[in-house]
Amino acid sequence: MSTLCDKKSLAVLGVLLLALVAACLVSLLAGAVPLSADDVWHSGIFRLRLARTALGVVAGAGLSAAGVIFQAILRNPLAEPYVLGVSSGAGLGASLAIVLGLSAAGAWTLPATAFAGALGTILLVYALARTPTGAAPVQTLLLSGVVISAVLGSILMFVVSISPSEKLHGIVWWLLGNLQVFDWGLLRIVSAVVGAGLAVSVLFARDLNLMALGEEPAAHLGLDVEWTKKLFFLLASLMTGATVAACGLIGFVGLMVPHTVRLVAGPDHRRLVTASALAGAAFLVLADSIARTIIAPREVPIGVITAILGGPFFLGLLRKRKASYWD
Amino acid sequence: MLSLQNVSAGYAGRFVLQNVVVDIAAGEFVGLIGPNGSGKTTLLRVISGVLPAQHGEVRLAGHNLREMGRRDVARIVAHLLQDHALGLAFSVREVVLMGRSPHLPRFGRETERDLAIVETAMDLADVSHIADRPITEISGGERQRAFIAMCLAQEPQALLLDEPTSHLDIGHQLSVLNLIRNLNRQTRLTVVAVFHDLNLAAEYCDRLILLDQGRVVAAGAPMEVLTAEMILNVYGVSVFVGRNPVSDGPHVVLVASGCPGVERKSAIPLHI
Amino acid sequence: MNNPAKRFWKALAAIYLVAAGFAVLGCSRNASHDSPTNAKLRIVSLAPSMTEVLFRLGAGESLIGATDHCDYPPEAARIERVGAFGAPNVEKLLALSPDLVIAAGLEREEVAEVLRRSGIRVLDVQIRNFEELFDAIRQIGEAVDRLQQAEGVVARMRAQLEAVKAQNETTPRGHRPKVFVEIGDHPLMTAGGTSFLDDLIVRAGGVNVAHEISQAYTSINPEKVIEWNPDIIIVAQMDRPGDAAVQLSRRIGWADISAVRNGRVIDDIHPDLLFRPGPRLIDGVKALAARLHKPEGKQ
Repeated sequence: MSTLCDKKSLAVLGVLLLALVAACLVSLLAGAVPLSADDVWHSGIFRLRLARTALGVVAGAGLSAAGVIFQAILRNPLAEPYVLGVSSGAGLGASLAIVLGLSAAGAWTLPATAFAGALGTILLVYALARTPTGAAPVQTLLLSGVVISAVLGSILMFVVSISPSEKLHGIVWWLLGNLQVFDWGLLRIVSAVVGAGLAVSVLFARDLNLMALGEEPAAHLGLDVEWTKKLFFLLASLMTGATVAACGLIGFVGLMVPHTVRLVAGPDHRRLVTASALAGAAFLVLADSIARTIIAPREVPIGVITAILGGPFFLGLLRKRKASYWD
Repeated sequence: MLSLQNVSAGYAGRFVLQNVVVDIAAGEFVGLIGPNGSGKTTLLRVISGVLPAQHGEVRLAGHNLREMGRRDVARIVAHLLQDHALGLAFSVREVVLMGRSPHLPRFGRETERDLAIVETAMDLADVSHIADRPITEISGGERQRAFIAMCLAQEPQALLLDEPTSHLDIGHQLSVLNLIRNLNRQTRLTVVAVFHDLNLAAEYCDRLILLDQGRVVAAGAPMEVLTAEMILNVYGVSVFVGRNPVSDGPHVVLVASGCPGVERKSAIPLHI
Repeated sequence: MNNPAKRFWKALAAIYLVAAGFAVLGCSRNASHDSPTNAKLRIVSLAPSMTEVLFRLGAGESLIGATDHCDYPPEAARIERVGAFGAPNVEKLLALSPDLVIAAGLEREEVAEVLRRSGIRVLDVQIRNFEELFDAIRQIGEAVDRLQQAEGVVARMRAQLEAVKAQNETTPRGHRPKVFVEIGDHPLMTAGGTSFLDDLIVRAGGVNVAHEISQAYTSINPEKVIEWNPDIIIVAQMDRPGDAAVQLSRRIGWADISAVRNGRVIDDIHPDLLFRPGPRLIDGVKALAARLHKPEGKQ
């Protein structure tokens, strides 16, 4: 009965939108360098912060939406964007690019290899999980993801172990996630991918509700389950891959934001996808503001901040509600 | 209304159903019985199309199942599973509303009519009083009825039930089956249900189909199918088949003695 | 994730041992061509800068072990390798049984401990500025019995520093160019007040914009660089093709930085002259000083 337009939806989305705007304002005004209202418009620092805030919005929205999708399709509360090994695959791509010095080929080599690693991993996991009939049952996908993640992760560890110390810092920095953005081009591409992914996800969100019933009940209700799974995996993987390409590995957002928003907004995915995207964007932008200011002018990698902020917050929320939304 | 002609189907190269011929007329209440592994659940899945038949033809309401899209099938046949493990706390109303999916336009919203149908379905299934409760917080029996309401919201011509009462106490068992029988009688809803309890099957079904190792061994009125001989052949146990004093139908009485049909493999006694 | 990782560590250890075996084979063949002129010290250098110092002192012959990164002077190529800079192979070190091991900021204390317990003298110097560099050269000179040469080297280096200083005096302190050293770009890293780069910049006649940061090497928020508005930017990485100034100008918000706007981005001074705290640091100072005094940069 809930759609994007009924009263509860409007209230929830409205509040989240306000939160996002507030977070963006904080992000634009806070930072390593104090900015007065005058020089705001003209300064290069403002442009830099604007780009960074934009990336935070896009990445936060993309990761949260991907988290909602994976939790719905895999029917597992522990599912999140990196559950199928994407983090290991992307990390491997990125570290190889750094160690082999491929960034000499251009500023976009690192994002490109990370993206390729992310997408390649998903395709590999899907191919491994397919039965002869062409279906990819959810349980098999999860197992396949765990296996691939372990294998790629071990290769990643090997690469890290033999990399020279001057490259190590770059690899670790990437693995911990950051919203440092240097050029608008990359930001534009990532925004386009995440934006498109979000739009299509919202359009088909009703199907996610059916998937939550289970693959067979969803089929009984007329859903083409395999096609739906493929579509949503593609959407979630593209959004995750794009985020990872631009920001490295920012953990935790894709796991906790959907759960937290679900506690407030309910499980209907037509509302949940949009709400999670807004909440995730606000959260990441806020986290980045903190990452940039607490030890200014140095930066704390944002993956550290999301982990520190999110865990206790969710714990508190859980204790306030007697029953969680997952049985 | 539902017919299977020489259907063979199975998993991973192994045939579970072999050359099955089944004809179910509109408005019938048919029970599927048989030992574990005889293919009852598989048969239901073939009828609803989730498991494609490798040989033979399945027809729903005159249409060849192979030529129908999933939404077309869902508008004719509703399939209730044994157990719905739903982790997300949708309200009962939201779950029942999902039953309208086959009828909703691809990207459309539910209309007033859809909501009205949902209310009717919940009323019929007697879950209106818990319409706004999260489905994770209601009892097993209530949950089963909620999912029945969801199936009813599909406005199907046939309802497939896979052991609809196995997790319920006798009170709920009877209330669910009574509900289904009422729907069958009043709206001519075709019902095909898998039963483990032979007596319940005898009570509620117009016709029984007995399966054994993927083949139809017997089909007919409960009186004809539920004979001691048939049960011994198929289930391998000796029973006594009497008469139900209330409904006048067959009543299977299980005999809890030694198993004359089972050979003892070794003579080593167990000292417990 | 343990089992695959363990297999890889074992494989890695095996690879290192095999590689060490080959290295021993290879270098022992080379070593047979070099006949030592007198019974002398067996020295292992754990830092490229220290290798250069030893050669400058004329003690290059005594080197029996060096890191993979020890590439200068060219004669150093014949020396047996003991591992990467920062990650020496302890077994190899012990196997070579040197008399003296020289390191510049050995991060792993346990390595020094193991060596000392085996009776090997470990000299670990810390070089945060030129004075400490001179001290280190003297210390090493003493340890290898070339104190005289060491004093000579130091005196020459001092003289060159004085010459540069004299030239710098002509520029009033307030007008010294502000310099930003970009050591890395992912993340953006620079050298703070306690690094020898800071001293190098001062000696070359400039001011390190990151001087207020106490860390020697640290990541930095790009916003800060915009605020500092350096006149000169030194880019460490040489593996980026194309004009560094153009690339930096494409960064969001950086186009207005003085250094970028005027094209005063230096990416052609050999990094070893700037980042290796050894005898060639003087050449780095001279090269940088020359660039700082050019009124306009490359276009």
